[in-house]
Amino acid sequence: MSMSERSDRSNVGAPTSNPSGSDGMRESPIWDRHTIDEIHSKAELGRYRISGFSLHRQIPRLDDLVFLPAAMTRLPLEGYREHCETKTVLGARHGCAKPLELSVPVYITSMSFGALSWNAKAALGRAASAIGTCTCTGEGGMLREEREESSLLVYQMTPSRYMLDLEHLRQADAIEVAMGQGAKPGTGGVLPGAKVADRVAEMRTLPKNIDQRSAVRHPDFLGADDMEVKLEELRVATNNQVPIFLKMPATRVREDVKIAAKVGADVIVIDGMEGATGASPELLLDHTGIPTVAAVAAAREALEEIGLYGEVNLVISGGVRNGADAAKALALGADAVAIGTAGLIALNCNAPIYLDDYARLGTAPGFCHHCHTGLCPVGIATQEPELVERLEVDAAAERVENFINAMVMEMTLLAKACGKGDVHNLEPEDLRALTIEAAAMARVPLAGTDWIPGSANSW
Amino acid sequence: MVSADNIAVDQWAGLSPEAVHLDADECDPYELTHQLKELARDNAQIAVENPRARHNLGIGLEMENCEVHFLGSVGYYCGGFNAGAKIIVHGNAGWGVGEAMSGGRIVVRGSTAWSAGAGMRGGTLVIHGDGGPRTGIAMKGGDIFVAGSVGFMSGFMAHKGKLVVLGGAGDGLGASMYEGRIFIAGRAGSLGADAIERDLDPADVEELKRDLALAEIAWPEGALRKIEAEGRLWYFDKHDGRIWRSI
Repeated sequence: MSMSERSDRSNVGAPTSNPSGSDGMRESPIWDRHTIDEIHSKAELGRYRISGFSLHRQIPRLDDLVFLPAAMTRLPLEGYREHCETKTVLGARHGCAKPLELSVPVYITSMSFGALSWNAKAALGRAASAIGTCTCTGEGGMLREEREESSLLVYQMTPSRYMLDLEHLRQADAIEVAMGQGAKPGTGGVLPGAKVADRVAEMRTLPKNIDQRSAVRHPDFLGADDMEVKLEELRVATNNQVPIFLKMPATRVREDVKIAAKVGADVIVIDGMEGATGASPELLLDHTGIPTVAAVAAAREALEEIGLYGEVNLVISGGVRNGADAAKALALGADAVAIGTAGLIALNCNAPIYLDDYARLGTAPGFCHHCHTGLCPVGIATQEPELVERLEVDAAAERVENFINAMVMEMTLLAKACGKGDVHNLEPEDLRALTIEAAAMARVPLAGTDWIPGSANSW
Repeated sequence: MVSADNIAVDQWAGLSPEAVHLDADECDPYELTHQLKELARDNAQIAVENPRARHNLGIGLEMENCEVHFLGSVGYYCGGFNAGAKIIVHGNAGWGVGEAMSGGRIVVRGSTAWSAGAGMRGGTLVIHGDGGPRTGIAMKGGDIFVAGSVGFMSGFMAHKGKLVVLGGAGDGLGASMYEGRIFIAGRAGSLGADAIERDLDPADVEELKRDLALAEIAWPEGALRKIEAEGRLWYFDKHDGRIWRSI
């Protein structure tokens, strides 16, 4: 029996007891119903639980920051009229022939065909092309439909190297060397058997319907010195036509970013712990990596310390939901943000349709994190033909295009309010933190003070 | 250019007098790859002198009508992304020789370091000396023939393809394979997780005789054994919990 065929009793109803406990129903904060349910699950399954989507706990976030728009000391731009530049160039560091020229600092992050259906991939590609930005293949090889729909496609090289050869390398507009992801740092991908359908199995050279657990360590390099040679190999193989991205989970960001710059990455992609997944051991979602807000500040500082800030491009992903999150990431030092879950939600993820199928999974719109079951009610995270059909490519692509446009409008609105004629001119000084935790992590002062916890420098 | 030394080297390497020569001292890996592609249009053999164990030699070649001879040892990733060329290394090879190759043939007269043929999808890799650790790691197709022994974790997570070892192997041979096949004549330190020994059938023997004749490797004196995945790691089963919790 495959992983996905087993029930995951992870969806627990809303509290019904009186919070004051006056009716005698007091929930222990230690042994709350989720903890109890988790132990019951493990006792039945004999393994950790596997889940899709993102984490299930509160952490400091970009949301805990606010902008300081112009008042007396700054002059704002006309929010509804004046131009604000959004063009973003990624990967020019080593003089490759074709750095990625994006019309906006937002692109679709790496999500595999396998985790997603073919039409979800095609719709994301079509939307990105309409906007003038890029998409990324993810781990499962290069899907023909995605290549055709995407004017700019980043080809991901993961440790499993599914479908990686010269023919496909040459079709890439950029190469992303994946060193992990925010959802499960230090651990390879999981694709439950229900999603290893014929075409997925063929592209990954796997037996059909097995529970695929991908490698985490690359097969032909270990450390930084090897990796420098490896990146040169990729450049030679592509005749230095395209840039090389290096994606890593946010863990020891200061050190990791410096090493990534040293080995020759043109673009460093940092995926915060909010980064989502199609399937992961649940505990890794909640207990590994650091928040995106902490990662972006640390990455910028690292590049500044080695004098490469602005030369090596920085992309931030992990829990970026709207123009505010994206603008804050840019202000803290990112050149662009990559979105995953937000794009899927724009496609139709968790939309209130096909309610019976949500119910069959033991969930409901707004709560669904059942990507791992392969039974996505809206046809995005599934390979079941009758479910896949539910996602209509034209309409889905238009929704994602609308969403990214709206997101970029939000970014320029904030930038213009702060007096910036280019979203890339947003800077840490434009931000204040609402919590001490966010102030310490983002290295910006707590609102109303000039205090940055843990920093010798105050503003 | 032509000296007594050169003629001796040419004969030793099996090069014809018409072979065109390139000097790796005079070009970087980009220029070398470019030159090899250009020269392959009108030449049947190209000899690269002074490889001096440099990295990234002969990357992403696809010409099927031309042999490339490296007259000495090569560094990391020689013949990486090979898609059709015949490459002969007259020396040893560093890490990842023939990684991600999808076609063609790479012959290493000496020994190879870690991860020879990593992730390869097709083509043939012949190693006349020993293979290092993780030979054939993550391979997805094609064949690797090793006249000597291989190091630890060889065939790790191999999806498909065939790894034939005439000597022995280190620990963890064939760990977590999918549908790959390993044939080994010597002793393995240990078999890896889920690797299991199965009997050779007559078809295997016929196939291997043809393979080894083509690879110019002698048939072993002892019997060959076949190592495959048992498939217990393909699906989670709680009755195997003791295996799963520690691997």
